[in-house]
Amino acid sequence: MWHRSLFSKVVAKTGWVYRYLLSMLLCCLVLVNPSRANEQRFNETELKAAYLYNFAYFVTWPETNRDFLFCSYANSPVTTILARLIVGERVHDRAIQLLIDPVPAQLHECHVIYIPAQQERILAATLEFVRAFPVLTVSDTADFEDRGGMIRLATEDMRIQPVIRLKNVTRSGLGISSKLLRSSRVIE
Amino acid sequence: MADDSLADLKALSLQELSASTVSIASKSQQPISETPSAVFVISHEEIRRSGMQSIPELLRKVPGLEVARVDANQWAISSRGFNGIYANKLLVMMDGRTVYDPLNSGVYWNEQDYPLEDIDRIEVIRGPGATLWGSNAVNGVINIVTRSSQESQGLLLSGGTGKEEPGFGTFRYGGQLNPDFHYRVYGKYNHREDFHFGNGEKANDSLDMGRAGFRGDWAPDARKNLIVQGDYFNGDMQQSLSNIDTTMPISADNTKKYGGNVLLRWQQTLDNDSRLQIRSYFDHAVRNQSRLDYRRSTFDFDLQHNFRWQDHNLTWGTGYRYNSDLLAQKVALLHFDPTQRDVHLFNVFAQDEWRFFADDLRLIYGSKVEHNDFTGFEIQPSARLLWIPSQQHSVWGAVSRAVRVPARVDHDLNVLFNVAPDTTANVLGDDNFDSETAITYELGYRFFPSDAFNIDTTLFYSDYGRLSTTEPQSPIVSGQDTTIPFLIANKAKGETYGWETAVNWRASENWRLQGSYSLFGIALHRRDGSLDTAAEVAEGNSARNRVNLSSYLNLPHQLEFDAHWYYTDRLLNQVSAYHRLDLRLGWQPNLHFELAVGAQNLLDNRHLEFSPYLDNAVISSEFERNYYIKATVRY
Repeated sequence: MWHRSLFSKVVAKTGWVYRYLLSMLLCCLVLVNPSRANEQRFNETELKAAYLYNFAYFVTWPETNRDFLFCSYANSPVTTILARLIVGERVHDRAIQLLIDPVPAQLHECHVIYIPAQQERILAATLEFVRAFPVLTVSDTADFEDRGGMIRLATEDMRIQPVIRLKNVTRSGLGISSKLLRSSRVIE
Repeated sequence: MADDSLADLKALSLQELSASTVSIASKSQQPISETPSAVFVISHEEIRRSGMQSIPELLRKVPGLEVARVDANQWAISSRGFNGIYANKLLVMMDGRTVYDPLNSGVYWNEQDYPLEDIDRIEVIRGPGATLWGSNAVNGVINIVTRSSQESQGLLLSGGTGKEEPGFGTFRYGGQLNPDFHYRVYGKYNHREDFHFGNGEKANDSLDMGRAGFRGDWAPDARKNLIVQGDYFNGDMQQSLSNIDTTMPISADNTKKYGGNVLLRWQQTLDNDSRLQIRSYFDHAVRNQSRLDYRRSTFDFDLQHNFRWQDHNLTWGTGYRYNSDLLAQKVALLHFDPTQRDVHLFNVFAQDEWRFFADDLRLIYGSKVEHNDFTGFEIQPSARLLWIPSQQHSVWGAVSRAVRVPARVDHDLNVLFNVAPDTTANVLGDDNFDSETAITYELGYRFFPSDAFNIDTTLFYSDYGRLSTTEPQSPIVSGQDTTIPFLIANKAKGETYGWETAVNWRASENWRLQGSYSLFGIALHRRDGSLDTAAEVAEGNSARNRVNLSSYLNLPHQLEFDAHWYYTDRLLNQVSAYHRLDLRLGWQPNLHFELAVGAQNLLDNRHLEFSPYLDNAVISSEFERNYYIKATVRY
C-alpha cells in the first residue's frame, strides 16, 4: 500500500541541532513579525493535526519507557499533516512515532489514537479494543463523546474546539493539564 | 503545505489554536441549531447502515419528504405534497449541480446514482429555498454532497446480490499526484429485477445501469481550492406504459439512457476574509424511448461572494444557465412544438444575516431575481428570524415566496389521447402559461437538553397560486371525428399545512435511536372558470401521517444490528397504508473488510406505494420483500 511506503512509521532522529535551529528560527519570526501567527489562516485539517500534536504535551500517561506512539488512519488528510508535524520531534525526551492503520492487536500500544469521521464505521470496535488501556481517544465524529470517546475536535463557529468528556479520560488513568482544560469545552 | 507554515502551525499555543479560524467556509457547516429553516442531514454513517443501494431509497427517513417507489426503477419523491413521478416543486442537486430536468421540472431518479461509500452526506431543506437556490426550490432542496478526494483514498471494492438486485458492484480508487492534488476514479454497476403487478403478473420494469466518474481536489494552500469532477452513465430501463390510445393494451417500453457531466468549482478566501466561489458545469443527457427521443445539453455558471460587514453577514451572487434540447417525434400522437429550443436563465441574488443582542437574535432576509425566457422576471424573497435564548433552545420563523417556472412541457406539449371511439383529446401546452407561486409561513423549534438528545419540530402553512390545470376548449368536429383541445393553464390554487418532528437520542454508547413524524394536509381549489376535473388530483398523492423509526445498535464482536421501520398512511389515489421493516446485520472484523446481510420489507409480501394518475402513462408495480448480502473491501 502506498501510504505505508510514504510514511509508515515516522521515527524521529535525535537531531538536537535541528531543533535548536528551529526554535531560533521561530523566536526570530515572532520578534520580527509578532502578528504572523494570527494572520496565518489554517484549514480545518491543519488545525486538527495541530491539536493532536499538542495533546502529546498536555496529557499525561502512566509512566512507560516506550517511544511516544500516535495512531491514525490513512484516508484522513489529518494523518498526512500530523506525519509532517512530528518529524524530528520528541515528547518528554522520547521519540515520536506514527502508526497508520493499526491492526486491533496494536491498538493498546498507542498513546493517542485519532479516529477520523471518515472511519466512523470502525469507531465502536476501536473504542472497545482500547477501553481497558490508557489510550487517549480523539475524533471529529459528531457525537464521539457520547459514544465513549474522550476528546472530540468540534468545528464550531469557524473554530476548532476540543470537547472533552472528562469521565472517559480519568477512567483510563490519563491526566489532562489545566491549560488544555481551559481552552476546551469540558463535559462533566 | 509549505515548511514555514508548517512551523507556524507547530508553534501555535493552545490559546492561539482555539482562537484560529478555519479558512474555507464550505467545510464549516452551520450547526443545525443555528439554521433558520427545516433542515435534516443524512450522515455517511446512516447511509452505510441503512442497507439501501440507491440514493432515492436513502431519502425515506427524512421527515416531510414523501418517497414512494413507482416501479422497480422509478420513484415519486416530493417535499410537502404535489408528489408524482416528475414532482416539480423540489430542487435536487449533486455537489451543486442541478439534476432536475427542464423538460418537465422533474428528476429522473434512476439516473442519479453514485458510490454510496463516497457520499459524505445528504442535506435536505424542506420548505422554500428559492432566495438562495432559485426556481423549483418551492417545497424543498436536496443537496447530495460527495466526499473530497482526500477523504476517499485507497482502493474500495464492494459488491453483493439480493433478490431484487441480483448484481451490484462498485469500484473506487483514490490516489495522490502530489501533496496538493488528490483524485479518485470510480465505476458502478447495478441490475434491478422486474417487480410484479398487484395481480401477480411480472411488470416489465427492470434496469441495467453502469456509471463511471472521477473527482480531483487541488488545494495549493489553505485559502484556495479547486474541484474538478465528472460522471458518465449508460444503461437501459424498462417500464410498462398504458397506451396513449386507451383502446390498445399495455406496452412494454425500453428506454436507452446515457449522459454525462463535468463540473468545476473554485473556492477562495480573499484578503479581507470574504469568500468567493465560482462554479460551472456542463451536463448532457440522452433518453431514447419508444415514443420520443430526447437530448439535452445544459451549461451553467454561478458566482457567489460572501463577506462580513459589522453585524452583517452578506451573501450575493449571480448566475446564468443555458439549456438546449431536441425532442424527436417517434409516434404520430405525441410531439413537441418546436422540437428544438434554447432557453436562457439569468439570476442575481443577495441575502443578509443581521445579528443583534450578542448573536441571540438573527434576521436573515434577501431575494433572488431571475429572468427566464417564458415568464420574464421572477422575484423570490424571504425573511427569517432566529432566536437562540439559551444553549438548549432555538426558535425560528420564516415567510418566503417561491415560484416554479414553466417547463418545456407546459409550453410545447402536443399529445393526442383516444378517449372514446371517434373522440380524441388533444392536450396542448400554452405559451401564456405562467409560473406557479407559493407563499410559505414556517415556525420551528429545537430543543437540545443534552448532547445525547434533541428534538426538532416545524410547523408550516403554504398558499399556492396559479397552479397548473388542463382546460377543455370547444370541440372541433370534422365529419365523424371529434377532437377536444385541452389547454394547459394556471387555473387552480390551494393550501397545504403540516407538522414535522424529528427526534435523535443516543440512549447509550452503543445504541442510537432516530425517529420522525410528519402530518400533512392539502386542499386544492379550481378557480372560477376552470373546467379541469383533474385539478385536485394532487390531493390524493400525499399521505396524511408518516412515521419513521431507526435503531442503530453496536454489539460485541464488531457486529452491528440495525432496524428501520417506516409507516405511510393511505393515499386517496388507491394506495393503502403500509408498514415497512428493514433489518441489517453488519460485521467488520477489521479495517479492511465489511460484510452485511439484510432483509427489506420483512413484514410484507409486497405492497403498492404509488399510483400515477393521468399525469403519467407509467403503470406502477409493487415493492417486494427483499434479502441481500453485501461485502466491502478497502485497502
